[in-house]
Amino acid sequence: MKKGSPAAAWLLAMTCAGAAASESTELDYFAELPTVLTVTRLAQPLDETPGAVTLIDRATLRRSGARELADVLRLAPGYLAGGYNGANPTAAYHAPIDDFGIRNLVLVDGRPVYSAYSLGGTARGMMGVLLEDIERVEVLRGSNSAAYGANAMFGVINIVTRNAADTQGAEVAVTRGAGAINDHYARLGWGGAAGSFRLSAGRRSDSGYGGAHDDKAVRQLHLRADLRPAADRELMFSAGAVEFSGGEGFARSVGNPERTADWRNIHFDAQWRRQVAATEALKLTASYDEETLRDAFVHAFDPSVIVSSSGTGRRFNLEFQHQRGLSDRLRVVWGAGYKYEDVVSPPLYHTARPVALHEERLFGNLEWRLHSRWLINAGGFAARHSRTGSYFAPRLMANYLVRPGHALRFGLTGATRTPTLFELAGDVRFYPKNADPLTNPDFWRLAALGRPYRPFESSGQVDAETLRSVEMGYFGHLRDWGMTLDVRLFDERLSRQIVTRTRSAAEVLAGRGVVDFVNAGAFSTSGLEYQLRWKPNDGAELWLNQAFQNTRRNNGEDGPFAPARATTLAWFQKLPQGFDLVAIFQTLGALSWQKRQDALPSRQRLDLRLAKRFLLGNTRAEAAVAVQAANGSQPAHQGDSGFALERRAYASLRFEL
Amino acid sequence: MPRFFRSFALACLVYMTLVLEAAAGPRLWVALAEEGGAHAEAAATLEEELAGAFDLEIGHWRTLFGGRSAAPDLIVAVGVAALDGVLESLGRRDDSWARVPLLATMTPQAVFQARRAAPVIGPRQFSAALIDQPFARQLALIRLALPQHRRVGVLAGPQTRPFLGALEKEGLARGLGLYASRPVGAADEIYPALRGALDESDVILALPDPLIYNSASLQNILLATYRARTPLVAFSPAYVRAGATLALYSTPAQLARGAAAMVRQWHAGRSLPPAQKPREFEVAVNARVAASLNLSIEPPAALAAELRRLEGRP
Repeated sequence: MKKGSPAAAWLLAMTCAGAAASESTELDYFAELPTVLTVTRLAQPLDETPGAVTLIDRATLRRSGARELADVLRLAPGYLAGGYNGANPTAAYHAPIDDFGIRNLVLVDGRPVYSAYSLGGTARGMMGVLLEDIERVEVLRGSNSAAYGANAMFGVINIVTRNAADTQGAEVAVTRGAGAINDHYARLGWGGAAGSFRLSAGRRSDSGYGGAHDDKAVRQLHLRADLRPAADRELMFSAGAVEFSGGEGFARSVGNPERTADWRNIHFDAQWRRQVAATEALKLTASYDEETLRDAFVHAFDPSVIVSSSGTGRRFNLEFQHQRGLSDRLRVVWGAGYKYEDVVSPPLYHTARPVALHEERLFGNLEWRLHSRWLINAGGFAARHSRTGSYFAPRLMANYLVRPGHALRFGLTGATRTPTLFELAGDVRFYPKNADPLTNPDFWRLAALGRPYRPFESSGQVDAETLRSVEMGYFGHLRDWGMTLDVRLFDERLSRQIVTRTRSAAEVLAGRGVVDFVNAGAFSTSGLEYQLRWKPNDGAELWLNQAFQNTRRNNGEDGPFAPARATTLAWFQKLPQGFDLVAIFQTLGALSWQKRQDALPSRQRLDLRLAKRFLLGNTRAEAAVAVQAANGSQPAHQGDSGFALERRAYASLRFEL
Repeated sequence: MPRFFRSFALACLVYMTLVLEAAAGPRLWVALAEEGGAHAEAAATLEEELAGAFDLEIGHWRTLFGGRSAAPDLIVAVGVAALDGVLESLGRRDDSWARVPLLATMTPQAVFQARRAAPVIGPRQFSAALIDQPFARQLALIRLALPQHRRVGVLAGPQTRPFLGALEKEGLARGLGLYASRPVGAADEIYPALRGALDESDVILALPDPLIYNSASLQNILLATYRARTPLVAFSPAYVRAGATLALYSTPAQLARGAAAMVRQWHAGRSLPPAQKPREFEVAVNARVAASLNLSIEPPAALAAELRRLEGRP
């Protein structure tokens, strides 16, 4: 008796059903696969990085309730969040020697966002990214000029936006609250495995600090494409437009009256990456930024004088990078780059022609596993600046693995900040016609002589600032306790600091500008900071950051100074039923961003956020309420400005489809 | 010397009887899906384990069924294609084959369960030395290696879905929450499901489901989990080489030893024990990926030893 046909039919049916449902077989278990996460693709482990790093991920960004990136940086030890007004939030590491954020490098997907335009500030550039689009923020604490060149003097804030493949679908969010807080966000993502796209738009506005003329509105639109033309090739392209308008100035001020400044930026960024072999990769990056500032007012004492800082700045950046493992113990990264910046601003540079600079760059780092316990990073960044000549920023860092989970780090670095175009070539001239000798004797005297009044005239002699730092660090992963500890002991000495010099009355009357820029300042700071992260159980996470530092200045007692002590305690708690509670408490010692008499007293700030996540069909939603400065309003910026960071509550609603 | 001849003949008879009796231990067919690679490794181990006590015939299932030999006492099918080939061939044989017991090895549980309903199984004994690791062991590994990771995400493919209830139960027993993605029924649903899983969990447990985990989707899955800084616990050392953080798996030799033990049980008791998941296993760790995710994970041998200890074995 043959049972052939029914069995064969059954089997045929099974096989077809199997094929349709794609049944698993032993081949799934034994098939060989290509290496995807190659060495060159992997981020360095924190115990092997040549410096201290604070990672702030997307979930933390969202859960912190922060509306500005500068606020998030309070979660990095040693960082001071501030801003000369509420419309220009910024942060500085260790040294509050400028309130524009010019001494740390801010990168968005590798694209530097400091302003080429005037003072190299990063506040507006940092606002030109939507928080919802960010995957993580890597804060490299300490000098990183050896890897990133000038500007990476007091660290790098490396903002990595989300891959378009991770933001498929739609998301909308709205936040409303006290202080005219009115934020909107919308995102649409589409595409497949070979290419993904994201279009995101946002608007953010608030009334800034209390008591300040600093209402702010930022509107922006971003497009990002992530393409994979082949398994070993990736192409990222992004473009964006940002429109900012913010209040400036003070009531009853003659030289800086209340007004609104408008700033626009468009940018393009393209990155091509090729995995040549498992231990070799090539990367080519090009970016372009263009910014336009409109900020002008009529001088109160002479209506014929328009005080303006309007103009346009551009930057073009090109970089090639090659990463290669030479052996199991030796890995090299080297690259070359070119940077071009120009500004067209007759009011600031007294010429209608572009004022430009360019820099050719060459960099490299050798990572050498000298011994199973010793890892050496030696590298440097050499550049030729078209106006200030060559510079070299070296770094030598040794990481010693005491035992698994405990590493010590010793390092020496040199860093540089090259002068901004304004510091190099600023030339501001007013031609007073109706000057009143009683209200403005300077104007009047110069007008009488037929000479312009020149508040700024750079002699162009200013050179790069340099920073030498020595550090010792410890990174511990106390696995059984669910704890990581990162300690940094540092001594940082800034020399040839660029400061303003006021020319003598005789020189001014002779037609020279009042203010020049010179390398005359110095600033040094030493201290200790640590970040402790502890997950006592699944639902809770505690961050404790502390920084203790001692600053010294050589340019008199009226310079800025850093807080001797700063503590941030952040508690992230997941609660049942999709609730989430976050409390961030910071206590900051007295500090001054400007002169000693502008010092801010010691302050405490508590921010709270309670959120609830829920599902509406297939839509994920989150509702949240947050209170900033829940413990009460407190002075902001300069002590004598009367500005206050007010207690404000706001609520947000988010839907993700 | 007739007496001498009688004694000699008797001795020969005794000798032949003894030798033939030994050689004529139960006849075993080891039907392979493929003749190289993992299947050959399993075949070699089966031969090593069973050759003394059984009359072994090892070959591709087509070769074995190609001849006209009588029915063996037991068929061991190595691999899903071998199992299906054997089932198809058995369907063409006469009644003398209807009770030949069948042991599948290197076979996923889902396949074994589906084939149990085949008419050709009929009254015959059918069991399997399964390839899938027990959920309890996979979750115990997550608890051991990643003590801070308590929310386990799983992509719910067609092969995986029937087992999610059991997985969740095992998770609860170990203080692990399970997040099962929305059902994935087509390739373009993998990525949205993965994103959901990455948002809701802090470790992804990959369960074999060729619709989800295949060479075409591998790159996207590994890159996306890495971008989300979420470790992936996989089911083969190849995944760990490709970029998964951890894997729990059994080698072909280990699976074959499990199957050999079942054959010996069958021989001792004349009945096949119920389907079993592998007893022997290995752990693989991608130390570079783990370090890059700032995870400090014990060496694989220590993890495997601890798992064995938890299972009450030396």
